[in-house]
Amino acid sequence: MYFSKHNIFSKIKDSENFFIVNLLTGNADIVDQDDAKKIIKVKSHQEIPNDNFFEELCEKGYLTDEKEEAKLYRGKYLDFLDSREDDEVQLFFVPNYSCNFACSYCYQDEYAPTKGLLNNEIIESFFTYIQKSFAGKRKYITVFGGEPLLGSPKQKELIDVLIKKSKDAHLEVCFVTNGFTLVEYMDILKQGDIREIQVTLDGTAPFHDARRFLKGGAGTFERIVEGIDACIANRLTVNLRMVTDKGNIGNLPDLAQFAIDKGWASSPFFKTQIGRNYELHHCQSSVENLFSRISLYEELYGMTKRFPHILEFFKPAYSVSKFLSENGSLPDPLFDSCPACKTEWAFDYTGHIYSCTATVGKEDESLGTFYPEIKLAKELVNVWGSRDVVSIPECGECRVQLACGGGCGSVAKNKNGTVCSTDCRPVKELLELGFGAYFNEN
Amino acid sequence: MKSLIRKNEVEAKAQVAQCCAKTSKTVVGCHD
Repeated sequence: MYFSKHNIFSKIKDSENFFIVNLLTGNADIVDQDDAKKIIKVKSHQEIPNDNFFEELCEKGYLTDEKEEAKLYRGKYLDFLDSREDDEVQLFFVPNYSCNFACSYCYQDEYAPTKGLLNNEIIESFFTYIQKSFAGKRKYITVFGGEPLLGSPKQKELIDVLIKKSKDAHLEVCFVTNGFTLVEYMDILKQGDIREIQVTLDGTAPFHDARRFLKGGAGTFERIVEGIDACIANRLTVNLRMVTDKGNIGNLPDLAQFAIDKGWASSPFFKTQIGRNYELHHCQSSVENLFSRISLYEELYGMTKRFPHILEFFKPAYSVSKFLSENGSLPDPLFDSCPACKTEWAFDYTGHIYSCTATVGKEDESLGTFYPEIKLAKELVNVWGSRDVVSIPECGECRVQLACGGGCGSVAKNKNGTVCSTDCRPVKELLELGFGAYFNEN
Repeated sequence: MKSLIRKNEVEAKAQVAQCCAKTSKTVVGCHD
């Protein structure tokens, strides 16, 4: 028997206890100090008595036979691939890269202006392409940008066409928008089957308006709040995102309270996420202003202790901790966290096809075209499609691979020059925080 | 050890640690 290479074992934050998690066998336990010492001995190949504790470790797969574990891993991997064949596909569509905002940290600010404009022929070609190429697949469309809900009459006409064609095709639509024009777009939006609308608020008015302002500098908070109110009143789900760095994280308690006081936090048509401002391709913010993946969650951990009402607004996932606490089970092992060219594709108004939202609009990342002709670079698609923890060499011996999933393929490619390389997530450290947040009985 | 797995409640499979979480797959900038 050997100590499973998929055991994640560490000390719980602000506790004398430890945790041990194994996503391959689906087990998770809190371990007191005495048992933790025994586990440390097992890990370091010291002998432990063949007692009840040893039996429990074997029963739960924390101690296992290497060959049996390899067989289980292969089986779970095949299950994962099978399951993904039936997964829903998210198809992003970019009608334009232009925007009415000039956000301080925009990563699209260096996207070169592209010739041409969206028209009905391109929209038609998009629908023809997706209905043929993804026939038989569950799918939905997410309209992205730039800013898709620009205020011009022509833009409204095009979005109206997009929504009507989606409805005709029985496809749900999501929008990712800065939210400034939601009120004036409401009648157009209501025609469609809208799954959700993602909107960003980076804090209460002074904080938000200092980061997310119109070209020309005017604030946007009040109009966006009206838009969110209008969505919820019309039963259109709002997915509110706060993009955070050291400049605005301190405002999270106030934003949370604002959302609670508005009644948003208790609405079934409202959900939230916190995003980290980071260097996707580049970042306008200085590095000192940015959080790392773990430092953001360390900050959130402390803040939710000091201001527990934040949890009514947003509950950090801390890797699989939140799922475990809410469901009493672990999610299935994640052999691949990158949906590019598998359950996510992106298309833009120039007729180009891309792997995902991270690459869409980057000329050197185009995989082909759906307009004016259909072309697809299958070898490039296969590279994205092949990326998972089995194909990334460095993931092979990693204890947290089945929670991390290999990270983001685009970030990995930017950093390492190749898609099939690592973009590691600090899973062990996140679990230390998450167990401290959701399972600490101290 | 204290198990955190509630065996009677293990039902449908789910994956939430993915880049774009299933319940909120619209997530953008989620490549994090």
